[in-house]
Amino acid sequence: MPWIKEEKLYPIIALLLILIMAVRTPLDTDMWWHLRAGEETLLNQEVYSVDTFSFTREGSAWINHSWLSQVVMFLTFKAGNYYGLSIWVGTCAVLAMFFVYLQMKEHPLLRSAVLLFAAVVSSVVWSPRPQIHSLVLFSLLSYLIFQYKRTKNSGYLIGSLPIFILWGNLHGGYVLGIIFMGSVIVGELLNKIFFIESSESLSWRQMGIFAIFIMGGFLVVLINPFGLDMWRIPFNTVGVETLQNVISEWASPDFHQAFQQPMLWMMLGVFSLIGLSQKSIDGAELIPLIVFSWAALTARRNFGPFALVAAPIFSRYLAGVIENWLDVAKQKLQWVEKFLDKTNQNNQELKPGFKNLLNCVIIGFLLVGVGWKIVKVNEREFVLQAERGIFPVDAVEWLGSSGITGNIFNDYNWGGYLIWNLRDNPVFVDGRTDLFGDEILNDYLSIMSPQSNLPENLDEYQINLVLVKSDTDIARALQNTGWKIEYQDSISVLIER
Amino acid sequence: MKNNSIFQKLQTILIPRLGEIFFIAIFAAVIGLGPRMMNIDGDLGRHITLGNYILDSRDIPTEDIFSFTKTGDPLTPHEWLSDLIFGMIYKATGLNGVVWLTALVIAGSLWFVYKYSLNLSNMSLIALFGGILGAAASSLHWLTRPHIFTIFLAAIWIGELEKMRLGIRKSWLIFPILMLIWVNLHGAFIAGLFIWSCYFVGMLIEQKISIHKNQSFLWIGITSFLVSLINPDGFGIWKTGFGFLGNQYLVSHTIEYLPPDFQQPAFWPFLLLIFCSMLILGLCKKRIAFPHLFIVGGWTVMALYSARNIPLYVVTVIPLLTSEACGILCDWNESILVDRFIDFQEKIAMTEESIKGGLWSMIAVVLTLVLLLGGIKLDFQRNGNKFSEEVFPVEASEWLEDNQPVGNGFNYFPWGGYLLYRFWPERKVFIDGQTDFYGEELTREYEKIITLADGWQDILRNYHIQWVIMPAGSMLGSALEDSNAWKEGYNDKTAEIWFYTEGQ
Repeated sequence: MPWIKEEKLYPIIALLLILIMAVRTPLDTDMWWHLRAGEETLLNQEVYSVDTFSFTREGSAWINHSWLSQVVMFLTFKAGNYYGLSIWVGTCAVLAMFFVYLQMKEHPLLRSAVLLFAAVVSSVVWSPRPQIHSLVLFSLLSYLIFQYKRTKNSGYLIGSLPIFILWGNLHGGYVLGIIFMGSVIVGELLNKIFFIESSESLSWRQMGIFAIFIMGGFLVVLINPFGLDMWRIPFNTVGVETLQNVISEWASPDFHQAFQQPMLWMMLGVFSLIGLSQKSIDGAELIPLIVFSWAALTARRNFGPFALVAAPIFSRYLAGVIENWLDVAKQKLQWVEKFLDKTNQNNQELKPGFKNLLNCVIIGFLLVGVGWKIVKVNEREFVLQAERGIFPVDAVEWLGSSGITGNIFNDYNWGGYLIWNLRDNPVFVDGRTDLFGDEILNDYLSIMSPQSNLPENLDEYQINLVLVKSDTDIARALQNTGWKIEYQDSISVLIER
Repeated sequence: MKNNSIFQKLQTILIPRLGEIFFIAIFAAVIGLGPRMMNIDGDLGRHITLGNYILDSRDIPTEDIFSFTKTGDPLTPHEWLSDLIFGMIYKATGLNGVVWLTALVIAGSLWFVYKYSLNLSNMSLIALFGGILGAAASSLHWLTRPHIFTIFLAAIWIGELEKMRLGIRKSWLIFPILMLIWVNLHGAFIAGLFIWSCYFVGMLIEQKISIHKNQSFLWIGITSFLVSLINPDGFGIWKTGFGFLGNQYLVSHTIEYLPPDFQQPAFWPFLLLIFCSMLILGLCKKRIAFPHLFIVGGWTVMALYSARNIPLYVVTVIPLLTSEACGILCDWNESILVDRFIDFQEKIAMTEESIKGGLWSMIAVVLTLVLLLGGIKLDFQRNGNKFSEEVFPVEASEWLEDNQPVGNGFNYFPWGGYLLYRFWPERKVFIDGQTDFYGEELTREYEKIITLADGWQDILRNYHIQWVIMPAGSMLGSALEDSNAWKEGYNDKTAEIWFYTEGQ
């Protein structure tokens, strides 16, 4: 008898591979201001909610919907530095995918393969930010709903309430959970309208209970330091029209970029498989799938939730199609049947001792891979080199030692890094789009545009110091208008009036 | 009794069919958008100029005659027949005629979508809904350019292929004929062969890899490929097409090849179409036919990859989707609402059967041309079909005509076609919209100049640039202003012209 049965071996391998994939150098542009906010919250023993990081919104109230995530992040960073954050992201990614795995009921090999595919799709959003918590909670919530639909046991729905309480303090993405539950109800209505029946369909009474828990979830997110304001957060964020011009993850996907293409293939794959099946899909699967496809096509940050919703459906329909094709192939082609019999026979002939050894070698090899990746991507030199590729590391070091202080006009993506590393220079803008709103973000874009009336715009904010990428229009234009370059390297240029 | 019969005959002629109303509505909408269509894209000037050249010289140029940067380089004239048509209509009727022709082709394409949808679904209301949604989704690419002929031919191509699949059409000879026209009209004729390959592979799978049962489909592919070589550049047209699509730099620098941006409301009808297709696939109780699956999947991917493929998605996918949607409705016969809808639909079908139709669309098409030629402005803004002074350097061109600068001029890329339209053959351009011809090297040089990247002045010197025409407020303009070697000659709210003065 092997120690690890096949149905456990495949997911263990898949989850270890996902961990290897997810353990990365923690370098997100927003990570730094989250860390600083977490630090401020712990330092003052009060949730950080009045801006002190920027000069454009200094003193303004800010609904810090991710305060708990920031505290977790800061404590992790304090305890384990980059290693800590890296392992934390990896663990969250694995947890999110684990709950997806639990929603699949097909052959473990197929489930594991689909899980890896879904992991590749959602990996776009695995970063050291509070939204990684949203991914885990979303996945857990969908697992509870899956169990409720399967067993009709309301206990699973009760589990959704603590999830929403936690979510309301960890990240504003709780709204994804509400949307998911709402789309399940709409899907159940579709089942009733189109007479689609399955063992998982809900009765009217069960739909009523489900609707009560949606409302319950919506209410319990108010248990947070900002109370009712938490309901405004999704609208505040999505209401910022400039969002997609500044933040790439809010933009529509660009499938010319290879790393975004897996989402397209997964969407195409899942709908093709549904098309090839010979029955109607459960509305409670179809509507969430459509809703999260829409979300992913509108903003690439939704690739994660899309993958979590699509993977179990993908697995189910792929299994159905493979089964049908194998049946046909066995009838038409004798060698297929022989090959399958032979494979089964060979597998059974393997001695348990040999199987144990083989399994241990594979798992051990992967564990070594995990360890190696954690160490490799978080080595000081490696991290510094990676940071130098995207952040103005040397310019900040130079500025820190120069003693020059005052308001700084900065590249949007560098705001967080400056907040963490340059504590005497308030920034113009950073990743807190809900705080800055269209007003500041539009001014930022206006200053950065080639047609900018630079002197007037910079005077308006009393800006004497500009730190931007060295190949930008503003850098070239300022040099032509009498500003002095204080520091320049291949990444950044620091210009003073 | 006789009066009654005349009245009935009149009725059959005078009452329009749903499809006809749809055609007229689309035709009117495209006419209304005429100036927008002409001014979004900068290539119309080039197409007219090339068309005029072919008409005048009776020669199809196979080497460059329009730029001073690539003069004499081999050129694949993959749109020569479209250019000729544009040139002819322009000579006869001016820009109004170009807009009229575009409206006719686009309305015709969408009418085919409606017609094939109706044939496949037998439900005119669903076909109409599909047509309207398709029109809304494709309207972004209603432009006065050869691409419209591809949309038109793709609509016919897939409709006829579907007829072959269903056994309604027996002869396959129409396909090589269509391909012969297509390959000379527009470089995207490859889309036709892609559609064919979806059908062929799909049919092979459906019929258990039996070539014998799909002989006709095989012949369509072979003959269509062979006739695609009958063009001024032979096999070169294939190389040009794939060469361009294989060049990531050029593709990502051509706006129309960029993916749709669903944050823009203009793309929402397309998004809605994608979700309709998902809903239909999900609710369908039977397995979708493989050719349909490949078409829907393939064109969805291509339209999500490049927004310019959305009209092709519309004309190829909508008829197939309406057919599947009709299947769902028919299966869903337990609902009273659906029963009533089907009854209503049958009444419409009976009424339509007794109508000949066609009269009003002919009147609309002819009358529109007459009105346009009579100088009546039919566009929504009442501006008339002309190149916009806010988009193109119209006034600056007048000034150039009066002042006649000497030497090579560097121009803003989207204005290349317009400058050719105004000044060729007296003046040639640095670059224009035919990116597949100008290639990566020159496009990179152009980009270096306008972004003031290292060495931009050297490139201007290497090409002996004596004057520059750029949009007002451009970075290049600011840099030239700061330079002692350049002097501003002209500026207005749209364009600025600079002259090289060093050594003079």
